[in-house]
Amino acid sequence: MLAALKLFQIPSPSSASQSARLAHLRAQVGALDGSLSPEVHTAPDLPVGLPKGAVVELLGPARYEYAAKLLAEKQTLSVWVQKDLSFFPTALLQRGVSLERSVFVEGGQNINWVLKQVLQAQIFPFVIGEDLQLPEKDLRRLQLLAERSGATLLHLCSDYRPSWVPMLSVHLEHLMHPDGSVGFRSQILRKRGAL
Amino acid sequence: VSSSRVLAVLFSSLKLKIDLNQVAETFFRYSSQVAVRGGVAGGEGDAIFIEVSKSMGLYSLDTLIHRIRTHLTRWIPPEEQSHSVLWATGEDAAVALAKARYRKNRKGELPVTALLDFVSPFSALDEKEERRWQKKIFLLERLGVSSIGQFLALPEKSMVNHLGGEMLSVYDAVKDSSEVPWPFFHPQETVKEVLSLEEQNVSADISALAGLEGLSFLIKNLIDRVLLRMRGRNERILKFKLVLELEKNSVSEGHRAYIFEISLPHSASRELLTMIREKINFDLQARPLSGLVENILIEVLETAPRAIAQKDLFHPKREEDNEAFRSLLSRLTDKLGFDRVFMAEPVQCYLPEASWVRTQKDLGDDEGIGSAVSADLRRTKDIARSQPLRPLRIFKTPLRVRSDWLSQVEVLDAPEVLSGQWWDQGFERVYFRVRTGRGEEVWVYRTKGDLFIHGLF
Repeated sequence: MLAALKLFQIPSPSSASQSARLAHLRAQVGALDGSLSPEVHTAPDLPVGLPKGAVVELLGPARYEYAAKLLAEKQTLSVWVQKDLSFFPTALLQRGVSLERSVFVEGGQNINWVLKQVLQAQIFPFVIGEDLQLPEKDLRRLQLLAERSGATLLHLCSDYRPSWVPMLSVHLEHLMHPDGSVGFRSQILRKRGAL
Repeated sequence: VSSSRVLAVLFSSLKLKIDLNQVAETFFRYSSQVAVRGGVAGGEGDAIFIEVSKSMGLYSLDTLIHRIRTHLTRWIPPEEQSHSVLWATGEDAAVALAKARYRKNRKGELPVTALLDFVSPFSALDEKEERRWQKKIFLLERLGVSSIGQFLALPEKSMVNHLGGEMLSVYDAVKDSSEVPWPFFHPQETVKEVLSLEEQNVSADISALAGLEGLSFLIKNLIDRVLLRMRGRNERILKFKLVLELEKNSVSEGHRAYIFEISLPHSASRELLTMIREKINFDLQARPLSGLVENILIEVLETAPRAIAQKDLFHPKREEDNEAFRSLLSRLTDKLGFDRVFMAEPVQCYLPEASWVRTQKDLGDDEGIGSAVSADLRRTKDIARSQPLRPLRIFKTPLRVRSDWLSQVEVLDAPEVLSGQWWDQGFERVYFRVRTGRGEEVWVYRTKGDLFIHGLF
């Protein structure tokens, strides 16, 4: 705790070494507190995994492909929530996502309410939302609901907007492996706790 | 217990008027043989008979009575049940009824006046007939016959000479009336339940009921009744109406009705109550009631057959999840509309945007999902074999771009020509997968010289 207090006296947290130290201390604090060590889903090309009961931001040009690949691997129940539908179910099916286990919701102006209802139902391990233009307070509420339900809310964002809500923010790009297979290059922009 | 084939539930001096035909519907889940004596309980002698011998393999008699008693609490409060509802079992309806009425455990101990129940077990005698039979019973009593046991000890051969032919047929019925045919029980055409707040001694003022909380407590009881009847009919609710009837005065709107359409059939009261509370709460905040509530009515408008499934004792959560899923879909569709909450199903069509349809279906059990997944995988393989990868997002209305835009981006794959539907104007599109300068992969098509962006990978 003393070390953490000393952190606030650091004059210029922008320097690289101090940022690294800050991140290290955050990880240590998280590791000490069991509640900050979340359960995770194993995830393709993402060694830290995807935390359960948390909001996870996926950014970058490969974010949709990544979400599809993840759901195809998990073969679990999922809800795809958008303001107006643009997800293409046929394409999801091509990538191996089970349409029998996927529900699509066009939330319109009620997208926040839809997400709350979905998370409160506590039956979907994955909830996928796209560009949720919600105030921080609403996002925080969604995070609490995700925590309670143990669901992972994948927020597919076109732009990175620093926020305290997501436990993990990842930038994803396509990566062509030497053997010709396509994977993902992931770069963690932000993570919280002992993830 | 082995000789107990019939359970009789006898009602006496009920404060509340209840329609026994509605209550009897709920007992269909335990037996297909149900009969009602009388109709509206309130007076003496109305009863429901349940042929329980077939249910004995599933429930013990104690469990069955406990369950039926629990069902009855939806109509009759437990404290009133203790002195207004009598139970007894017997080898036939008449014996069970007489045992319940006279609170005796053995047929032979029954008083001779119980002969009236053997004369007509399924309906009360009219006054004239009752008087006539009472005279005959009085004669028996004067002869020293005070119990059914003594009556059965009378010599059968001299019965006709001394007491008449009618008494002989009653004698036969007392000996064994299991062959007496049961009247056919017709369930009511619609499931409708009304709760009168005045009868229930409930203050009708919603504000006095602490807002919606008190009201929803009463609605819960009504829903329970409706669901018990639906369970007896082996059906589930698809659509129902809830009406709040208000007191009649110059400013009152008369009544307020709410229609609930449910995307997938329901059978859990908790989930239905959540839907009702949400809708009524929202409505009452915007438009408070203009008068006091007098009656609450629920009427089922549409039903679906209930799928017969064994209870999964090892995975109870699966059943809960299915119910929660149905409830969620119902709440979402109730607010957003049927076309905005859906599952998708692929269909054979060359036009990409028409290659799937919206559908709503149940999650089903795990085996169902398992087979559905394998069917999905089969379809996936078929589609993957026959088509290049489609973009994960497509625009509802393709975005028109300048026709020379294609020269500014990197074309990734060979063009794909899609055409068809000649019977309906037809179409021909040449699709390209391209990468923009920002690294985004876009699906574009050219048709009749124009270029459109159709989707994003």
